[in-house]
This record gives sequence, structure tokens and C-alpha cells, in this order.
Amino acid sequence: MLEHGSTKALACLFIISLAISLSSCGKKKRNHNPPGNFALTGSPETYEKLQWVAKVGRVLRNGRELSDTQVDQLSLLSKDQVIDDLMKDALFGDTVVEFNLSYLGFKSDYLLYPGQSLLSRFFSKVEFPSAISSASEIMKNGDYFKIFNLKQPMYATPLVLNAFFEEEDAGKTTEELLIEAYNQFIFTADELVKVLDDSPSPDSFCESFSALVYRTSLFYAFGIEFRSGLGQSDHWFGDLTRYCQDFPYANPLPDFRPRLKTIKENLEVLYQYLRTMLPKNYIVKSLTDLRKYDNKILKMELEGRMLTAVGFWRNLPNSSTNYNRKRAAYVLKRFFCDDLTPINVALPAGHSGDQHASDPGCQACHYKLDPMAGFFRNLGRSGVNYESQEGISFDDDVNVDRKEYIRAWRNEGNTARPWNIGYIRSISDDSLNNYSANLANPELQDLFDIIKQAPEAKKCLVKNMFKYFVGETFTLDAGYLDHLTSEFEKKAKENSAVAFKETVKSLLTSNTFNIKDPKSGECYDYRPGVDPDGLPPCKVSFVLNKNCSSCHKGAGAQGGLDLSSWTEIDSVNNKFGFPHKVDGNQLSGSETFKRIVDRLTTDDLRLRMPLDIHIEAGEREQLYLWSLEMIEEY
Amino acid sequence: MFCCLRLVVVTIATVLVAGCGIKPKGKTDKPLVNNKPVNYELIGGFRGYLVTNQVIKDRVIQEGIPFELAGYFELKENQEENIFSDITPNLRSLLGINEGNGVNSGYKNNQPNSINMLLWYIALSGLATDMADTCDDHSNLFNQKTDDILAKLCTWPEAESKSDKTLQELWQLLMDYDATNEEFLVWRAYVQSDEFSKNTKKEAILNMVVSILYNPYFLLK
Ligand code: HEC
Ligand code: HEC
Repeated sequence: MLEHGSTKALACLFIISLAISLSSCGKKKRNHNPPGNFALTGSPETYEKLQWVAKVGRVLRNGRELSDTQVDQLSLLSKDQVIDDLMKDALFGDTVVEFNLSYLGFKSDYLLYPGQSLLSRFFSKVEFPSAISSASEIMKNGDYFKIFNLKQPMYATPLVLNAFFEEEDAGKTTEELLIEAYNQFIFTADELVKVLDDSPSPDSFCESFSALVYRTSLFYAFGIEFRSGLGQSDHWFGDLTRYCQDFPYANPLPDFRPRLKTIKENLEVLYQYLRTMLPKNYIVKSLTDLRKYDNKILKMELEGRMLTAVGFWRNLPNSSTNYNRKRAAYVLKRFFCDDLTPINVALPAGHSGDQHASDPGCQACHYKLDPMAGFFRNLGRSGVNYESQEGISFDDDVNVDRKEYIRAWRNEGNTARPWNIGYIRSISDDSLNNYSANLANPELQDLFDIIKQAPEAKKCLVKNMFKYFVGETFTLDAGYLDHLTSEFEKKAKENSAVAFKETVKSLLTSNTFNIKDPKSGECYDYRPGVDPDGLPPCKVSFVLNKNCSSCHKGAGAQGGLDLSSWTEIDSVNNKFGFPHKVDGNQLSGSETFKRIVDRLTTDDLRLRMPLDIHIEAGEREQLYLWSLEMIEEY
Repeated sequence: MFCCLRLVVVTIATVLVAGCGIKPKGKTDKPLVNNKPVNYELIGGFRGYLVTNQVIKDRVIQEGIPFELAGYFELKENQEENIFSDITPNLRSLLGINEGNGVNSGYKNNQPNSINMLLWYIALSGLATDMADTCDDHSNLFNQKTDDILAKLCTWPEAESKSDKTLQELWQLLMDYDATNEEFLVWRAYVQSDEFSKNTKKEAILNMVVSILYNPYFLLK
């Protein structure tokens, strides 16, 4: 490609311009009539179905295409049947894992680069058992809501070789190496028993013991390290190591033979387990094939290869000054779709003197951020729980007194609720807030329960599903979202995995999914029964209807502002906007929107809209951001 | 050569972005949809490098053969200079990529610009050249279906190489169900035009393939 020579260059130029003139406007409606009739497979109608099947196939099969035959066969089924069929395939499990990672904010293509298998990318950066376990639940119609719970079982990966000590081992298979490691261990352990039988002296024993420990190094090829960590564990060499380290053997040599027997038994269990984990016995075609780490083995305190939530803690470190706010911001953003847009808060009269800044500007975010952070208060570096300890150590290597540290969340003087920890919706109306059931000692697990119950979290999940399965850039009508969410909630009461699948089905059969030349800012799906004609733009119309129209509708609208309709307010410039009459005169669009922004953000409770009524933080944010956009428009 | 081509593509890509209703945000003449002003932005953006590469693999590459479109950014034998060779591993990230560390996440670099349009061109024409080269040297890169269609294209300028049937097969192979009938008809008319018949065999195959793959219906979501 691209050989030298100017004729070639010109040829290239020609191709590119042709290709572009041909294709660049492809996504726009063509004005001219196409030459000739339908020339592709089947009739226009069947072709459209084939198109839909091919696209749905790619979406539900994690990017893999269906073969032509599969497309043809599936296109004979109803759309619902097509989706049901494709959801049975293991590839759908991978699709859900990918969706989960994107929902959790950790989807990263860098991890998929060649040479990196599905598994190694989980090691290298993101380890999310909740993404995997909830996807497995989808496949067996179980509890999808495990996605909200960070605390999930560890997953084990197939046995892979990670290091060799001896060059001569380099050519061996995983199985050969495992057998050899096992045999050497057993052989040396038997030798050691012989030493104890024949001439039990501390010197001869400890010499043979160090040979045994040395021989176990072969296990390191599987990430299992007997020499350091396990050397201290009483499942393995703990007391033997301690005896031999205690040179010059002040104590007489105990009879270690029974201990060697249990060590050999433990090894047998481990060996049998590792055999089941050999690549030939444990085939991972799809991430949902991953097995949970065997509890019995877990108790043996092996390091080995497993998938834990480490990725979460590594990506969201806590420092001595951060007070878990990064983690709290993560929870608000990911599970509640709250981006913490700084909109002033109205502080009720007399509210001040908090430990945290009581400046309304800071409170705009911190009133909900800090109480959320409290759920993490006992978790220090890498998510380690320091609850039972005096001190707490952070990711920035600072150690502080734990009791002093967690005082930041104390609700001093309030015995009923001693902690300022919870999901806070309102400063002025405490009944709207969610606190842990265990007020005396709120725990992270309680946060997961709150997320599971909160309607905002369901809506946020469905919103993320729309983005993932339909498209990031489409405008989502809030009424449609509300409709999808209430359908989801209804079904989730029975079974959350079925609810998930049904919602995906609704999305893939929606108008938006099928639209051929979409326009930004336009919605293609509404709440059933809604005619968008004459309503305000779909981005906000539902939110206005829900929160404002009760007072701002029709002729008697408060303040002369009708937030329920959208008409031409400036026929000269062809501008549309809200009817907004002050003293009989229509205000300009920019004036109306400036007033809306003022009323949404003022900290004067007498002026703040919606008057005396609670509005979800996300909805206030949506109206606010949209109004700013609209001021620009006019 | 590269510099020259780059300039050309920059210009063309600008035309591409400006000429097709893909207008930058701002106070331009806003069309009305449902009586509501809308912003024309590019909906969707690129499918992204990973997906596009997978699509190509699924459609034309022989199963089990490792294949990376980004391979075409690398220095070919007896090619003297390649301004990209040092940064090849990062180039694909310019073609649409998901990134996420929990707090910040999203789909980046998914809007067409002059640089990534040039990169797409290099990758896709590299693939097209490999296809055209099979007329002389059989390679095991492509799957059977692709080889069969290429065999017909290799008869250029014989009638079979540009018959309605062959062209539909090629279109369907590469585009699958991604585009509309109208798009196909426009492309077919272009390939069957007198102007196009002046191409040599290799140019013809290269141009046919690139003009399908460089189409927004193929590259965009
Ligand atoms: C727009 C929302 C927002 C506003 C307004 C805001 N904060 Fe924050 N603040 C955050 C978030 C989010 C974090 C956590 C950031 C992180 O660690 O990634 C944070 C972190 C902090 C931290 C911990 C910094 C560290 O890591 O050591 C302090 C202290 C703080 N904010 C004080 C304030 C003060 C004082 C104000 C008012 C002047 C304020 N914030 C206003 C959102 C906000
Ligand atoms: C419970 C009734 C009620 C609700 C709900 C309500 N408002 Fe109001 N609004 C009023 C009243 C009463 C006035 C006029 C008195 C005043 O100016 O404060 C008003 C005035 C306004 C004004 C000022 C108009 C002007 O010309 O100065 C704006 C802007 C406004 N509201 C926006 C909203 C928005 C946006 C919502 C929904 C988020 C909303 N309102 C919800 C009662 C309400």
C-alpha cells in the first residue's frame, strides 16, 4: 500500500475523494431518487428484518456477528423469539459482563488488546467479581442485583504458569509441571519422616526441612508460594519453620511426624483441586464459565490466581485527607447517576456548625457526599477493614488513630442516630433520606441494601442499559425511562434477571434502536399514550410535567409561565419556547431560561422551585443543565 | 508522499465533516424537528477499533488466522519511512475506544477527524490491497467465501467481475446488513460507470473494497 510515485498519489487522492463524495453523506436522507429498484436480498420488508436480526445478533453476542445462515433462520422467527434465542447463548453472558463493566465505569478496550485473553485482562487491571457473578445469575435467572454488591465470592482462573525457576522446566506442560511439583513435595516430606524415624536431631531435621521448603518452589509456577507466606501458616509449615528459625534450637525436637502427615493430606487435597483447574479440565470459553474459588482451598491461605475486588480499591484509593469521598462520589455517580453537578442547596434556617464546611457552595455536593463516604469509614488501604484495630492505614501510607478518624461522621449529641451516614436526598426533610437499618453501626453491606431498594438506582441502571444496548448519544425521554423503569421494578420484584432480560428486549425492539438516520436531540420512544406534539422538548418534558406543571400549566399558570407547552414565541426568527407572559407580554426565550436557572439554584427557600416540593437531585440537575444550554440557543 | 497524502486527507476530512450536516455545535441555523430546535451532531460516532476489527474478522478473515487492522500501520518490507511506526500501539486508540477507571469512563475518540480518517484509510486500503494481491498470489488470509468472490473480481475487466450479481455479493460480504438499498445502488452505479472501467485490475479491486469500507454505514455505529 502507498507506494512511492506521484501518479499513485493522485490515484489515491482520486479514490479518497470518490469514496468520500460517495459515502460521506450516506447517513443523511438522499434527495435524489436512487437509480433502479430494490436490489438487495429479499423484499424491502424482509431486508429490514434481516438488518435488525444482524444488528441484534451483534449486540447480544458481545460484538460477534451471526453467520448468514443464522441470520436467515432467525429472521423467520418473531422479534421476541429471536431475542430469547440469542439470550440463551453463552455469548450473552459475556455481553452482560461487558455491560456490567461499563455500568460500573470500568469498561476498557485497552485490556482487550491482542495477546490479552479474556482472563488476563481481568488480572491486569480490573477485577470485578460482582460483574461476573451478576452476569452468571442472568444466565440462570437468578439474582442480578448482585451487581450492587461489591462483596462477592472470589473466582478462580484456570491454572496458568507464571514463572519458572529452572530452565529445564521451560518446555514442560502445566500438567507435567504440576505432577512433578507434587511428587517432589511428597518425596521430600517422606525423606523428612525417615529422618525423624532414624536419627531425630534438630540439625539433621532442619537441614532436610529446608530442602523440602526449597523443593516446593516448583509450585511457584502456579502462583503458590510455600516458602514465604505459607511458611508461616499452620496449615503448612508454620510451627516447623518457627522451630528451625529458632537457632540454636533451644528446645528439644518435637515429634513432627503427625504434622507431616496432615501437611501431606493437605497437599493431597490441594493437588486434586489443582488438577481440576488444569486448562484441559477447566475450559473458560465465556466469563460466565468462571468457577468460584473453592472454600476448602481458600481456607488453606493460598495466594494463587483468583479474581477479587482488588481492582475497585486500587482504582479508588482513599487518603488521610480524602475521607473516602472518592469512593462516595463513585457510588453516587455509578449507582445513582448523580454527577454531583454543583447546584446550590437551600440550607434550612439555623443549619450551621457542621464538622464539614457549611458554606452552601460546598454543601451543594458535600451534603450527600460525606454521609455516603461514611459507609467506607473503617476501610483503609486496599479496602482492608481496620474496624477491630486501633489505627487505620491509608493508600497514601499515612497511619492515624482510627477512633479519632471516624469521629468525622459522628452525629454528636444525637443518640437515636449517632452517625451522619446514609443516602441523603434532602437537607430540609430528613424523612426522605435512607439510613442503615443498623443505626448504631452502619456498614458497607447496608449501603448495598440501600442501593438495592432505592428507586433512583433502578432508574440509573435502566438508563445505563439504554445507553449500552441502544446508544450513548440518543436523547432519552424521561417519561420513557420512567415507564421502562416501572416495568423493570414490577418484574424485578419477582426475578431481577428476568426483569433485566425483558428490559433489554424492550430496548432492542424500540423505535430508537431501529432508527435509520437519527437526529441528536430527538426522542423516538415515549411513555405509552403520549403524543409529543406541542410538548416541550423530550429531554425535559416529562421532568417538567412531573415537577412543575401542577402550578405552571395553561392560562392560570403561576408567574405567567406555562411549562407544559412549547410554541412559537418569536415568529420573526422562528424560535420556539415556553409561553411566558408578564404584564401581557411574552418574554424572550433567554429571559425565561435565565429565570428558570435562577429559580432552580437560588438558596432562598421562598423562591426556590419547585415551590415546597421535593424534586430528585438528578431531575433538578437535568433541568438546570438543559436551561443553560437553552440560554445559549436564544 | 505521506505528508502529501496527509494534507489531502485533512482537506477531505474537513469537507466530510462540514458537508454532511454534521455541524459543529453553535448558533448555526438550527433546523426544527417536531417544532423543536435540534443540534446536528454525529450520532453514534465510530464503532471503534475493536468492533470494526472484529467485524472484518467475522466477515472476511479465515477463522483461526490472527488478524489486526492496526497491522497495516506498521512498516512494510522495503517501505522506507513510516511516520507512525513508533506510535503504532497507540494509534488504534484514536479510532474509538472505551476507557474506564471507575470515576472517569466512556467512549473516547469516536468522532471523525482528519487524523483518524487518514488512519482508517491506511488500514482499510491495506486490507483492500491484500485482497487485490490475491489475484497474483494466493494467500490463506481470507475465508472461502471471500476467496470465491475475489476470484470473480480477478477476472477484471471481464463482465463477471462487475455483474450485478458479483457486486451484490461483494457488497453483502463487506457491508453485511449495515447499509440501505439506496446506498448499494449508488455504489453499484459508481463501479459500473465508464469512469471506473479505466481502472486497472488491482486499482479496481482496491477501489471497490475501499469505497465500501470507507462508508459511514460501515465505519459508524
Ligand atoms: C461539585 C461538587 C463539589 C463541590 C461544590 C465541593 N466539593 Fe469537595 N469534593 C467533591 C468530590 C467529588 C470530592 C472527592 C474527589 C476525589 O477524591 O476524587 C471532594 C473532595 C473534597 C475534599 C477531600 C480532598 C482530598 O482528597 O484530600 C475536601 C477537603 C473538600 N472536598 C472540601 C470542599 C470544600 C471546602 C468545598 C467548598 C469550597 C467543596 N469541597 C466543594 C465534590 C465537591
Ligand atoms: C407548588 C407550585 C409550584 C410548583 C410545583 C412550581 N412552581 Fe414555579 N412558581 C410558583 C409560584 C407561586 C410562582 C410565582 C411566585 C413567585 O414569583 O415566586 C412561581 C414562579 C416561577 C418562576 C418565575 C416566573 C417569573 O416570571 O418570574 C419560574 C421561572 C418558575 N416558577 C419555575 C418553576 C419550575 C422550573 C418548576 C419545576 C421544577 C416550578 N416552577 C414548579 C409555584 C410553583
